[in-house]
Amino acid sequence: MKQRRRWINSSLFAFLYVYKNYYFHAMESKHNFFDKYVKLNLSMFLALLSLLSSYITPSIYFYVLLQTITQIDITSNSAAIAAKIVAIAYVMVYLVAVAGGLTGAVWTKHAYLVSAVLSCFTFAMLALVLYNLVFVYLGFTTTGIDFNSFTQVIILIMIIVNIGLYYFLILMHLPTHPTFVWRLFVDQFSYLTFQGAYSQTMVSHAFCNVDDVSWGTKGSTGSHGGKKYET
Amino acid sequence: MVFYAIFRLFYNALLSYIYIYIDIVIPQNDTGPDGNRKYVLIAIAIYSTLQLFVKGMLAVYHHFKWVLTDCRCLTGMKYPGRPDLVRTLWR
Repeated sequence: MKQRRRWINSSLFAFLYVYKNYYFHAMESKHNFFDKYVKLNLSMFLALLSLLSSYITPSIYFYVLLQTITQIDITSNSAAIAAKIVAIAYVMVYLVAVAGGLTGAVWTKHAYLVSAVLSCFTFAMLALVLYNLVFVYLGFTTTGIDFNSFTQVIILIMIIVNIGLYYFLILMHLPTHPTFVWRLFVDQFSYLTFQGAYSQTMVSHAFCNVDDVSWGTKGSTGSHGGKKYET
Repeated sequence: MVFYAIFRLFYNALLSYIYIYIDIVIPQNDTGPDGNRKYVLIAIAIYSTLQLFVKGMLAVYHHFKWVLTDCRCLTGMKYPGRPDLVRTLWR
């Protein structure tokens, strides 16, 4: 937790530094015109967007969770009530993560519980989004895909782009890095399981301790060698 | 720090309220699928898809540029000793 807090916060400040200064450094470099004026600016803009997205992730997560349950049956009161209960449960878990992050060291020993609950939310969300896409938006068992419907067509395109591009990006490394590709497939379940911890618990812990400038657990374990210490 | 955390929670709550207002409160009287179209959900999906697409294209460009230049996978390696050095580093 402490190491992750250090990495997340240092990445944030490193990015802010790079974002502020990259243009001057790029101008002095030997990159070509396309790299200097197009590709680098585009990459920095995308990095900035990712940073902004990380700030509003909890609200997006909350809203998608609420809506995906509501849309299971839009006319049903029980679906609406279940959506509110699950959304409130998510808010409570997130508040526990934030409050725990503010209390510091004592909480970090029990942070895995919050992470486990958030992992359950991750898998629930995956199942809900899948159900919504297949049965609610694309209407596989009812109306079927109507290619004149803007919503259905754009959702179909987005599914193809998201899933197709994801697997293309992985598989294009197959000729040069087959071991890494295999590990990506093998570790996919673990990645999803820990996503709740990495993208929410640890991020909230990091931003609640942004004033902590210590070096995490670096040097505090025997494997790092030297004297055991913690600053 | 407490203030910073509360501020972050506050604007996330405000954004959630705006999402709910646009998608649920405004069309609450309509019952058909068009009236209940979820603009915010679709906007979030389009935003993330566009980001993934542009990042993906950049990744494809960089990978194949590397394959054709630095890696020299097709025409022979530029730095023959590099794979061993990289393997040693990872070990």
